[in-house]
Amino acid sequence: MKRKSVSVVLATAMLTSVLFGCGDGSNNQKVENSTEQVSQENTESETSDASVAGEAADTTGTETAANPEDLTGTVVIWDWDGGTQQKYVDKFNEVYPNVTIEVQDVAWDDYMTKLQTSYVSGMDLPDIILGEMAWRGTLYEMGICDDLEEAPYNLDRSNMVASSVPLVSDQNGNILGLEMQVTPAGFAYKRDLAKEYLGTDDPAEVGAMISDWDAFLEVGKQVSEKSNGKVKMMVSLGDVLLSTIGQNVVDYVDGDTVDITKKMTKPLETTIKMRDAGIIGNVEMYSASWYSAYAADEYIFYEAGSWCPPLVIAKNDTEGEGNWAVTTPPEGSFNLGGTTLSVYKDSENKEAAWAYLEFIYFSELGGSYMYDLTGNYSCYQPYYESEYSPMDKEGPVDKFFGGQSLVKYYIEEAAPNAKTAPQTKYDAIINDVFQALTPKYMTDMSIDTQKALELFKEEVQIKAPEAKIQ
Amino acid sequence: MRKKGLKDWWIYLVLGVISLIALIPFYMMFVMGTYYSEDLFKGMPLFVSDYFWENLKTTLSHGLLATYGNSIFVSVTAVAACLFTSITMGYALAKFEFRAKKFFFILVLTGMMLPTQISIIGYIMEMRVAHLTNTLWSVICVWIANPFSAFFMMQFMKDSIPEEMMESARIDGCSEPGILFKIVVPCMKPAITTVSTLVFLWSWNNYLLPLITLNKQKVYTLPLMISNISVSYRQDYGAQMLALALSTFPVLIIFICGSRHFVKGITAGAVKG
Repeated sequence: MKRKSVSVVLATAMLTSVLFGCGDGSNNQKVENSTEQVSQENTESETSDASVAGEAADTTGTETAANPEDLTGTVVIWDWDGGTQQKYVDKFNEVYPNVTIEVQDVAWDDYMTKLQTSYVSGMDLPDIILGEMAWRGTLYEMGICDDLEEAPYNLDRSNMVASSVPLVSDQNGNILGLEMQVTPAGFAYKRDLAKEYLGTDDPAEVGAMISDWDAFLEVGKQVSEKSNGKVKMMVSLGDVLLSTIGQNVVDYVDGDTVDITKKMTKPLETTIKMRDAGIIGNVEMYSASWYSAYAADEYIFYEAGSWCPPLVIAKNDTEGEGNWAVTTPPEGSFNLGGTTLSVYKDSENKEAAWAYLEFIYFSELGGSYMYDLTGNYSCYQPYYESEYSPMDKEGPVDKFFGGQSLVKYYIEEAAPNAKTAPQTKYDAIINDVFQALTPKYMTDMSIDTQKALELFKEEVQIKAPEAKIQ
Repeated sequence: MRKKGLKDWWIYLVLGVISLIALIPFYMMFVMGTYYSEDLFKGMPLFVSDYFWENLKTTLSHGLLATYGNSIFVSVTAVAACLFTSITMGYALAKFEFRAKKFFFILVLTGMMLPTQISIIGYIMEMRVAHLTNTLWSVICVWIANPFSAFFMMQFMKDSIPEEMMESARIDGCSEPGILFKIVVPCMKPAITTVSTLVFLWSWNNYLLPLITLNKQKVYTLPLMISNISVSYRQDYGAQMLALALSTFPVLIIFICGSRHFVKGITAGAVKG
């Protein structure tokens, strides 16, 4: 009897501990005001808080709190580039001292896993959610982002750079985010290699030499011949495929019907042609070697969304100052990547979150902060015509690009010509499939356009079993 | 005698080559931690470079010391909690007959069969209700109910602890908890070492659960911190490698100290004596 009771007690103790975990070690999950304020960088214009606040209120696209000091709250952002975000936070806190913005680092690769699992399990989500292009369609279809044209945000879409509007909209046309920066793309290239193999490093002349993909192919063959196959036009076949997917903006989703043939035939045709000509490097996109290839002297052209020069190129080719330039890609600009910022629908700090987003990402003053601190181009259209306009200002990486005015290229040349479309979950799926299949396309030379398309359709069907793939 | 020595020499050579193959990745990890990230891809990094201090500074600026402390706290507490529950559970199931025994046994087996990824959402909900998310307890509690450890302890006790020994203790007037902690536990060194090593290793390397339940840097564990070294648009492989190398030390030490018992533990019960 004694043995029996001991065994029951032991087993029950075990089960209790299993079910109830560690008792009362409760810890309030509410975000504490623990952000360490990074010391403010002294900018040349030391304006008083009050006057900056007044200016900020005047330069935003929507209504602003009457007195920024009255606004309080703690806003959490999950970001994979917390260092940059923190610079903006410091500027914001000069005007809104009683709002705490807590930037929490979440690795890019893990962002959606963390977001989706946290949402499903009822964990607190951040007040501001980032929507990278690779998963934006999926994020927007989760139904967790507020429509920014409604109260309390009241965003006016006519104030947004035209090419950005579709990129921040869901399929119903609701604006669910603000773009962190306008993201038209160009082709960056190395000036020394361009001079040696193309005979010029002038952006206009180089752009004219590769005006379409056929011209790009011909130039590639010549470069290959001159360099005995050592120098390639681009690092990865993925770069070509991603560019051509971005250029082929077509309406390919109709309810459950997804027309992959319409969306992918042309991009795959061009990509396979480039592969067969042997003018593209054999490096897997986003791999360690791909990043290190920015510093190598074997590739001439690199895809360059407007965010790439400061964030990718300058960081990965630290000794390349003055040796870079950017020009129009074959067949014109397209949208590349980009990140949106959305407000979580159940956020308890919507006003504070919006105050931050509006102040930095949707105002004239915010646009100038972004440009000065990081070289990003605001999606707030009036900024470009305002007294803060960056058009005649030197950007942080212009010198790195041999003195070329990047803002003039991206805003005046590229953005008006970059076609964009609203985001669906199929864009995210296409992005996944593109990344999964590109290594196969690179290595298996027997895959022709038709076979590549079939493989693409099969993979999309696996990831979207409910869709009718055409 | 001479012939035997020659034979041994060949065996040692083969073993040496195999060991070298196994150890080279570790060596490379340490060496790569001394390189500037972009230099790693210029050639095979075989020798130590001069970027060690910079990489160390980077890892320290990401809170290496604090996360080290967090990881040690998590793993040590997880091991202690797991040992207590698995020993008591194993003892009950191996040595006693009681009404719900089958039910508890099936519960343990079911727990072993469920993949972690499936049960993780339910577990996080549990932690949320208990207000333990964003605390280190959320990544410790999962080890309290570790079915593998309970099963392992049960099997070990069944095979290695003779009933007669417990009977004699009872005849001598020892209490039931006394029998467990004074007689049975000291005989279970190999099993305890094995479970401790495995749970330490698993909790030390756990990534998915901390990723979801921990949001603040001050409660980050090592795998999360290492992953966040490259949060921006530049992959700092040098610093990541150094952080990985540094995070491997405790695991290596634990394994080296416990390896003798570990091998004994995993073979215990394999042959019935």
